[in-house]
Amino acid sequence: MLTICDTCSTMMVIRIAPQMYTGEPYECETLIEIRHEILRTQKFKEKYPWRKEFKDKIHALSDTQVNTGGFKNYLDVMQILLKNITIDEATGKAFNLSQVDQKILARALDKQAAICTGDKGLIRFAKQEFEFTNIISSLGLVNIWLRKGLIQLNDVRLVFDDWKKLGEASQPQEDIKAFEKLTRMKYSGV
Amino acid sequence: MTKLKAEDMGWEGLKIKMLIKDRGWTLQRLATKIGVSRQSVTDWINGQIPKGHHLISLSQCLGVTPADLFTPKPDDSISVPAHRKRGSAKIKPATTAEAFKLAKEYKSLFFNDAAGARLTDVWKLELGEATPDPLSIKSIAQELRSESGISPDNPMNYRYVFKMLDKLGLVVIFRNFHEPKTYAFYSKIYGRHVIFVNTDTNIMDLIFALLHEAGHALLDRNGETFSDEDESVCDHLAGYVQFPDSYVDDTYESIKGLTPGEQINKLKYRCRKYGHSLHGVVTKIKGINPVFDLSVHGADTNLKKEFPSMGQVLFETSDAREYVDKLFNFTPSFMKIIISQLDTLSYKKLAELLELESTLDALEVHEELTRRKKAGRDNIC
Repeated sequence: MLTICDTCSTMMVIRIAPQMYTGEPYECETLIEIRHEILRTQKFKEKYPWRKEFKDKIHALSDTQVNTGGFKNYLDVMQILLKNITIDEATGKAFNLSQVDQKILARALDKQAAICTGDKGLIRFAKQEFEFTNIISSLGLVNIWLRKGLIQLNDVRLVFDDWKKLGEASQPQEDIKAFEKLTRMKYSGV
Repeated sequence: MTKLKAEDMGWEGLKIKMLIKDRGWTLQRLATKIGVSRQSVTDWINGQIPKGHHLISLSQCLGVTPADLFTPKPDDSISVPAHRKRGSAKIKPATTAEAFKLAKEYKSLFFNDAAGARLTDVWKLELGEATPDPLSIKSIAQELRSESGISPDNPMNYRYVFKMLDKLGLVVIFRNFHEPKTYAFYSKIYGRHVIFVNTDTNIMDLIFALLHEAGHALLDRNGETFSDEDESVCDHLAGYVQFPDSYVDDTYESIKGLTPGEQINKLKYRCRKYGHSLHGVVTKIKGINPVFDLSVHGADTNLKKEFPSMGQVLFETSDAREYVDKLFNFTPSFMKIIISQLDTLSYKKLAELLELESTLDALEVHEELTRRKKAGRDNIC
């Protein structure tokens, strides 16, 4: 299934599968805004000093490719809902989605794709307003690639250690169990 | 006074009824087509906004766009952004529109800040509807100065101005405006008094502009635009707050009898020491001696080059922790709002609110804010 990845999930997995955006079997795509965010000069010290090594690997969809009728329709609806203050039923607070989050969801809805993200606000908004539950965690994506034979276990070990060091978001228990069952190895990440 | 309002989209459930009638449908027929109950359709007609996917199905069924089911309505949550007007110059509609757009980006944030503190009512009541007389303005200026903690005889510098604004309950937000000559503007968002500050502004130019905008907040015309008289009050208030009489008198005494070149050098020394512009203090001296006509434009322009912009102050180092420290120093109220909603703010949204171009930078900031929250700093519950 096609998967749209956001900035954080890309940074977590691209070293495991550098071809994630260039290789068709990976079925991943991302938006031009995400590419710009990853490659842009940072003001603060680098959490990911290696990121520019992947400049040629992060192929992103252009605005023309993304701006289909369906996409625009979904985006318009989201913008109207958010401008009218849509309350997150889980927290009682107004949803506070960024423009990029809205575009990621609009693309996923338009293409009936999944979203690889850990962004809880986006996940709850997608479920509440669009009954969208096709969310994959970074580890979930790794599991998919392992099952497809696109990556090897050696590709992941060092990166999992880095996830811990960098304080990346903890991964869902079900994905951790799935990884351990798939690889018969103890999961060493977050 | 002109009443301008932000506009927003209001749900028009009754349009569903009209559109069904045009098609000769019943409510039940529409409900069946969309796959919902008849009651759901009734609820939508009666004002409940449908969920996103229902909104799409509804508009497709009725052959309209989702926006067609909404109507522009005045948005009372945001007041008309007030910019400082100079003399007879008009604020361009595009400038106001841009400011509205910027203010709207913070709607959800302030909506969620229901329990936030409001502008101290005492101040507002004292200025009220009528135009205050000069003595009242001066008296208020002295009280504002003492709120900031500045020494009675010193001119305000930008650090003390930010302290004063925070004590008044004003929220400061740093953003880059497209119009470089717009230093700051004031707006009310869900009852919070907010001053947006252009990060391109030189800190010398910022002082008077911020004090002027504080004047707008204190006058608080409840969504009405500010009159020329109000602008004049804000200018006078800003002038009195920035420069106490004792400092102006002392400065004038120190340059009497000197050549223009010597006067400029002496004034520049004071400007560098206390962090204010030549133009500002010369304007005040003219209040004592109207024939004082020292030309300082060129010298002032050159002097300002020695001082950074607000953006340069904020991003002086490449350390996210120092950046966050500075934000808490200059705009503690805004940062408390951010930190209180940190659990529901994504890195991408945080990047937008703080205008960090890189989400990866926002990630660093988010981590630092989380660390501070866990450490129980900043009196965050």
